Amino acid sequence: ECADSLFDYLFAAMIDTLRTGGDQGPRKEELLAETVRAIGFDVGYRLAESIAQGRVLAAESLEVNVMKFICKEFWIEIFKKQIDKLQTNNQGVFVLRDAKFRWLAPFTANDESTRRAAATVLNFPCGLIKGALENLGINSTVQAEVAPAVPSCSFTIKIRRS
Amino acid sequence: QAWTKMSKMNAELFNLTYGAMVMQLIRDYEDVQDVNQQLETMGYSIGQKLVDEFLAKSGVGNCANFREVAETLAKVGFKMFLGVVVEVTAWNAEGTAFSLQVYDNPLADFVELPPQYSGLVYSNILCGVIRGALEMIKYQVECRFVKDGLKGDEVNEIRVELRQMVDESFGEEYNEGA
Repeated sequence: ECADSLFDYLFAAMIDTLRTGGDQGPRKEELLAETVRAIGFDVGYRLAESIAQGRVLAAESLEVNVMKFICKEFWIEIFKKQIDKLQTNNQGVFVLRDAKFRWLAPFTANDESTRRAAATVLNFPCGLIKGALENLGINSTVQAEVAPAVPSCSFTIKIRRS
Repeated sequence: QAWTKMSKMNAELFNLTYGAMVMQLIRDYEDVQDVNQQLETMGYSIGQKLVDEFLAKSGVGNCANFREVAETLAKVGFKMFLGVVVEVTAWNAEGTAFSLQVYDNPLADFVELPPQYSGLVYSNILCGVIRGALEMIKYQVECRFVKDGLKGDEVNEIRVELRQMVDESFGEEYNEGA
């Protein structure tokens, strides 16, 4: 579908542009990661609004319901597939596994530079998830890692109970 | 017909990501003209990559002349990648410049430009994409927004002007039709 490639082109160009930085000069990897996450957060927050649109998520066991929504409707709308596996320790930690993560498809090797490049890319979906959860009333931290190898990855979500 | 429908969600993901990125660039650069330049440069690199996919998927052979380039760009390129209808108008006498009437600009859906950003050319990435793509098929052009829906114009208009042909041997340059 042409639109996917259009997003992929934009995303790759965005990373390069953000890396060159602005008036303050080039961004180091850490600040780049932070900026990509922040942009992902904005997008995820608003996407969740339009995807969830009026769906009332049951208040009791809200966290589990919201997580299921992320793994199903949210993931399907963006990545055209569900999350492959959802696990939780029932103490507010959830691990979402995507065995064939769409935005890691371009990466084939598994050397150090690929893993670093993949890590930069994964900042964006981390932001998407965190933003979507925030919109649905859940504050969280989201980490991602390539596991065991590209293109599969996992997202670890730790819910911050206020 | 290479046309494939751009699904609503993909358009929204693309549109929201683009908007959030433009906001970040506005924070990165004091002068909004620098943001316009960054967007154009980004578009240029995208256009160079995108044209291969476009030629492969659209089955459009190498365009014989600049008029054919313009029609293909409007009728096939814009439709295929942005899902919008674009019209070619206002050719100059020499046939080296034309305008693209972009009636519906998906990049700018749900976007409002606050007055303090009046210097921003929000969709300037499109100019870069056109420049990058056309250069790959040997037409070196310059393009700019002459009408912008976000600034109250009823249509978006991009003016495309042929600077020179990119000569095969990259040796001497000549100006087609000048």
